[in-house]
Order: sequence, then C-alpha cells, then structure tokens
Amino acid sequence: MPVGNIAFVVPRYGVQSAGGAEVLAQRVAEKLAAAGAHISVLTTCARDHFTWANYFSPGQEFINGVSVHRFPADERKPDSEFISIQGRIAQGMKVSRDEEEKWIRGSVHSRALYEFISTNRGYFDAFLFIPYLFGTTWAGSALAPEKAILIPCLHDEPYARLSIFREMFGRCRGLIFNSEPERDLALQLYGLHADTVAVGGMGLEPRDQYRPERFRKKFRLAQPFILYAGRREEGKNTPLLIEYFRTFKKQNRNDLALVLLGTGDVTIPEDAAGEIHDLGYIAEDLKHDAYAASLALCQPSVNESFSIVLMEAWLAGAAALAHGGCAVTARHCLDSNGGLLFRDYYTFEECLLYLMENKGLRERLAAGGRAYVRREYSWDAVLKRYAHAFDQFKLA
Amino acid sequence: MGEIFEIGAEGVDVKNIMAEIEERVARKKEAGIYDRYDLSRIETLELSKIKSEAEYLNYLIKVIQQTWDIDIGDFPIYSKSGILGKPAVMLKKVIWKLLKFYTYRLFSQQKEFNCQVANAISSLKNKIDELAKKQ
Repeated sequence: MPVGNIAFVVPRYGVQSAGGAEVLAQRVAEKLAAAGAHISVLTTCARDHFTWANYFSPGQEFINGVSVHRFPADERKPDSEFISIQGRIAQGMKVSRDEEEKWIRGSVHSRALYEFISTNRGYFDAFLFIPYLFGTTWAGSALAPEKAILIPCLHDEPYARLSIFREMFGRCRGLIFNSEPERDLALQLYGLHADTVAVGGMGLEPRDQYRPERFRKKFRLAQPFILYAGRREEGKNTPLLIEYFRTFKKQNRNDLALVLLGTGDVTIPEDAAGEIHDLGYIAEDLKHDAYAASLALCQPSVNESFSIVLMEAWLAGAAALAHGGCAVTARHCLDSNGGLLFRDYYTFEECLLYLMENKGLRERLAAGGRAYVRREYSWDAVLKRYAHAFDQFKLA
Repeated sequence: MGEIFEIGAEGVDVKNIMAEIEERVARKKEAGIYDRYDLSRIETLELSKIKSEAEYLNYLIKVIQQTWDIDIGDFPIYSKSGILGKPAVMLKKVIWKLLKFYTYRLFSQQKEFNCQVANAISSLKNKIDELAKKQ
C-alpha cells in the first residue's frame, strides 16, 4: 500500500466493550498495517466512555502489530451548564455558538495528545480522526487540518447539525464514510466538495465455523428467538425494542423470545421476564454462534453509520430486521435483499410474523445478506477503497 | 397469531415484501384490529425520530395526550428477593391497597387537572398552527 506514515486518532483503543467506531478503527488500522502501511494509533488512557477516567498507563504498546501511543485524558467535570446544553442539543433545540463550544470543551480531551500532534505533524503524512462526535477529533483535527482525514461515523442526529461540526467537516483534507447513505447525509448537511469525500467501510470475513447448538445449550434456550447485539442504550433504541417485543408478546401467542447481548444497563419489565433474556456481554465466539442460532438479528437503532452486527449476522446465516428510519441499515437491507424493515410498531409486528412463518424466506434473506457482505465488504474490497481514497486525497 | 404467510417465488425482493406488509397493516388498521393495542409506552420511547424543535413540541403534546389519564394501578408489583419473594409481594400488595384507599381522592383531582391542562395545551397548539398558516 503506497502511503506514508499514518496516525489514527481515536479516543479509546483496544478496549473490550468498544463501540462500533472503535472496533472499526482497530480493524482498519490492523489491516492497513498488515498490508504494509506505516500505522500508529494515538489515543487516550481511558477505557470507559462515560467517565473517561484514565485506566491504561500512558506510553507506547503494540497491539496486534500496531504501535499504540496512549496519552492521559484531561480531567473533566461536566457541570450543570454542560448537562443543560447537551440536553437542549439532544432535543433538537437551538443553542448559541458559544454554548456549542462550551459543550464540546466538556467532551474528552487530552492536552498531551494535542502536544504530540503539534510536535510530530511533520512526521505523519495523515491523521485519521474517528469518530466525529468527540473532543479529540474536534480539537485534534484543528491542529493539522491539511493532514486531517475524518472517518466520522456520522448519524442523522441533532449533534450533527452543530456549526462546530460543519466547520470541522469543511476544514478536513478528506472524509472517508462507511457507507453511501452516510456520505449522502454529510453532503446534504455540510455541502462538501465531491473530491474530498470517499467511501471505505470495514471488511468482514465469515468465521471458520458457527455452532448454534453450543449457544442454545450453554444458555438453555430451546425456543426460537430474535437477537439484539450491541450497546444497550436509548440512543440505540434498545428500550424501544424491548417495549415493541413486550407488546408483540401481549398480542400474539407464540413461543418467540428476544435475546439481548452486549454491554449497558437494560431494564426488562417483570411481565416480560420469561420471554426477554438478557445475556449481557458474552465471548466473541458465542456471539457469532448466537447469530447463527437466531431467527433473525434485529437492529432497531436509527443511529448507524455502518452496523457491524448486521454484517456479522448475515455472514452467520441470519436474516435481518432493521429500523427503516435509519438510512444506512435500510440501504444495506434493500441493496442486499437481506432484511425486512419496520418503521413503527405495526410494521414490526407484521415483519416478525412474516419471518416466523417463512423459513424459506429467512434463508433467502440470509443468503442475500451474506452475498452482499462478501461482495461489498470483503477486506480486499475495503482496502482497495481506502487505497483509492488516499490517492484521491493525494497522500504521499 | 395472525395469518400464515407463504412466499413462493424464488429469490427475495424486500421492496415487494415491504409493500405487502404495509398493505396488511393498512387493512388491519381499517378493520380496527389495532384499536385494542395499548401503545402509549411505545410512543414515549420514540424520541429518536425527533430532529427539530417543532417535532419535539409535537412529541410532547402527543405524550401529554396519552399520559394525562393516570392510572394508579398501572405497574406490576414484584420482588427480586428469591425465597422471600412471595410474602414480600403479598405485603407490598396490602400496603398498596391501603395507600390507594387514602390517596384515591387526590389522584382523581390530579386526573381532572391533567385532563384540563392537556385540552388547553392542545387548543393552544391548534391556535398557533392556524395563526402560522395565515402568516
């Protein structure tokens, strides 16, 4: 891969409970390094994205062949003003420029990391900042905008409409999106030049084997189930899925269950405890077995820029059921013919009934999804797109 | 359980299936099948659809319309304390019944007040919409 020295700048790296952006950063960094690029990672010592408390020791370490430099995250104490501004932004209310800046200054920052970028900007040919919504990306990209490439992992959310981000997107040398709908959203929001945008994504490979029975046996699950895998939080629509499923079970007599995997607190109503199973964080192998054992993977989130779990589930042979309000997952489902889409409770119920009664349909959806992932998101295809993007942005 | 679906054709076209699903939903709505569904809790969770201040106001009004009619019995009584669970639930139920007896009057007054406020807010919103159209 004919590129020079590249640094990924990401607020967390190499943590077990990573979000999609962090997983994507790590896998792309490792694959680019394996393909011969000189890759470094600049990150903080934080492990937890709620407190951003320093957990890892500062300094250099190697993770899967990639040089990782950790810097202490600055101490932060979100005050009532920060919380009030965040609340108003989240509700789509207007805030002043001054308030936007106060809010982003309350995000995760690292003075030591910024000093490193300033001191070493001559050594690196490009800094890849990921994702857009954090202080390290906002402040870090301002230090070397001519070398800043943003992998935003952008969602259609009120934060994306802040003027500070419009400026940030505009000043970067290039932007690599995970999917075409994400790129289209950015073009619509920020009016970017076409020669500064590219689509990359993340590669996925099927595992050597899937053992659905192992999953069923370990968790004593005999009944059919739909699966949710990922962070459990309001922003991912997990409470909505639980409420949808609870209503579905009230209205339809069948033995279907909902299985939840991942980190984050989840509240299961007592009257649904027998049919909603919260298994929390489980080993990676078992997660893939769970996909294979499921009737379908349900992705209720409307805040996705790629959706790794959707791709993983298709590779494991599961059909998909996604929220039609998310342009990215809806596009994946339509382009692959791999998943059904719901837009409210009524369509959710009908989709589930459809999936439950049609084994043949589930299999064909899964086959469509699997073929799509292998065609569009093999590592070969993704690395070619990254190489093309680096050429387009005229990196050395 | 609803009707059994059959998909016979080779290959899948998600667009077609979705169109069929939307048709089924429309037919069920027309037939009043969904009228018995209680979706009030779901409505309060659909915040993620909101993209602007105006949508947020509409959302708040919708939630007020669905939640003004408070029901003091609208939650399950349970206990997580294993072997002591059953007696704990019984005790909680007794306490709750006593509380209900003494607080019923208060709740009915609150309900009346909520009803009037919800109606007033809806009327104000309609007036604002009318004025906005005229401008």
